[in-house]
Amino acid sequence: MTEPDFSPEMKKALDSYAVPPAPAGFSDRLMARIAAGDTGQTVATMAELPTRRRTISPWRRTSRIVGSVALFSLATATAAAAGVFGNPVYLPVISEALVKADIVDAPAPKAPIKPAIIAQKTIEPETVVTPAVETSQGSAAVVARLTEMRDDPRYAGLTPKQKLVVAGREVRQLVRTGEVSRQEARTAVRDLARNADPATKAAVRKAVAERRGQRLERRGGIATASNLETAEPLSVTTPSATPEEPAVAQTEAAPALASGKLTEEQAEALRERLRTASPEQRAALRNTLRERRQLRQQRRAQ
Amino acid sequence: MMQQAIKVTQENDDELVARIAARDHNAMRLASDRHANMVWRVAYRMLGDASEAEDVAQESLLKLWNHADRWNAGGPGIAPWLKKVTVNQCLDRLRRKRFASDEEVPERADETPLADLQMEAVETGQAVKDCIETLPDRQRAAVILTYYEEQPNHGAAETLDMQLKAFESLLFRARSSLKGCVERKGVLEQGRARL
Repeated sequence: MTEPDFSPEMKKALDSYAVPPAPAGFSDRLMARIAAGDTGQTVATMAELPTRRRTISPWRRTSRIVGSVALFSLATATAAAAGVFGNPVYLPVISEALVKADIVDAPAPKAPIKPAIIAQKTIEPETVVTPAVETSQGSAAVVARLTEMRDDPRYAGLTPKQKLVVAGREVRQLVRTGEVSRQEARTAVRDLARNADPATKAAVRKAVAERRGQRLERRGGIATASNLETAEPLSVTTPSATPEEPAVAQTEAAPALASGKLTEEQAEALRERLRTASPEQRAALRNTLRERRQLRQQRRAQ
Repeated sequence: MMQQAIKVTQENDDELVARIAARDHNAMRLASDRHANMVWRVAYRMLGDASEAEDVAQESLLKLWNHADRWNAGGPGIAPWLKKVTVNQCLDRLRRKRFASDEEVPERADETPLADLQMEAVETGQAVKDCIETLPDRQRAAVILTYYEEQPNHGAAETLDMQLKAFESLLFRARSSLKGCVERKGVLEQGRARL
C-alpha cells in the first residue's frame, strides 16, 4: 500500500508540535520510588473495567433460536419414541390401508344411460322433454297420496265435504312443501275427478256446487245466480251451467262456437260466466274459445 | 559499521539490564537518563497530558526495574522494549479513560517551562496536537511511532503487535485522517502564507 507521504507544509506543521523535555527531576523521582520499594502496580489498583456487553448479532441470535427449537424437537421426539409420555396415540394412516388393500379387477364400466324416447308426434318438442316427466311424477305423487288417504278407514267415515277439506289440505301441504308444483297438483286433481266413479263424481259436484253457492252468496251474488239460470243462449254455446259437467258442455259448445259469431248478449253472458265460473269451467271455456279461434284462423288461412 | 554499533548497543543493553536485575541503582539511573526523554515523548504525544505522560514514563521504567530478571539477552534492546511498554500503557490508559467517563478531560494548565512564551509559536503545534488527539488510539500510535520516533514500519508493527500489512493499512488511514484534519483547521494555508 502506497503511503501518502506528507507534503513539506504538512511536515512543517507536524514538526511544530514540539514536545517539552522530560520534567526536571524525573530520574530522581523514579529512583526515589524504586528506593521506596514501589513496584509500580498502580494500574492494578485502578477501578475494574465494566464488563463489556456485546449485542448479539441477529444471525447468531437466529441460529441460537433455530438450534434450540431443533434440539427441543429432537428431545421430545426421542422421549415420545421411548414412551416417556405414555402409550402412543393410534392414528389411522393411509399407509396401513394400503398394506391391507388387495389388488382386484376394475369394475365393469356401466352402460351409459340413454335418454328416454319421448313421443315423436310432439309439435313443440321443447315443452315435452324433462318437465313432462316431472309433471307425471308430481301428479303421481298427489294421486298416490290421495289414494292412500282414500284407503284409510277414518277418511272413509268422513262426509264428502269433510273429505274435500281434508284432501284439499293434503294437496296444499304437498304444494307448500315443494314436493309438487301447483300445476301438477291441479293436473292430478283434475285426473282424479275425471276418473272417479259416478258416486264420487256426484258427491264432488254437489260439494263443489255448495261451495260455489256459498261463494256467490258471499259476493252478494244472488242476482248473479239468477242470471246463471236465465242465460239460455249461453247454455247452447257455452259449457253447462252446472259446473259438474265441463267436458259435456265443452263438446256441446264447440260446434256452436265454431259455426258462427256470438251476439253481443251472448258475449256478455260468456264474460259473466267466465267471471263466476269455477276454475275447471273456466279452463273448459278457455279451451273452447281457443279451439274456436284456431278454427277461425285455419278457415282464414284456407 | 551500523550493525556493529547495534551489536555494541545490544551488548551494552544486555549488560545494563543484567546489572539492573542485580538491583544496581546506578545502572537503573543510567538507563533512566538514557531513555527517559524518549519514553516521556511518546507518552506525551499519545496522551496529550504532561502529568499522565510522566506517570506512564515512570511506570514503564519501573517495569524495566521489576522485570529485568526476565530479560532475554540478544533482543532488540532496551529502547524498543520501553517504547512498546509505553505505547501499550498509553493505549490502556486511553481505553480506561474512555470507559470511565465520556466527559471531556478538563484542560490542564501547561506546566512545561516557558509555556507562556511559547504560546504564539506553538499555535500550529496545538492544532496538530488536537488533530492527533482526534485520531483513534492505534492510528495515533502509528503516526507517533513512524513519524515522530522515526521507527520503521516493521518495527512499529512489532511494537503494536500487528502484521506489517495491517499496520501499513492502519498508517495509511491515520495519515489520511491527520492530513484532512490539519487541512480543515487551516494550518497549512497559514504555513504557506508565512512561507
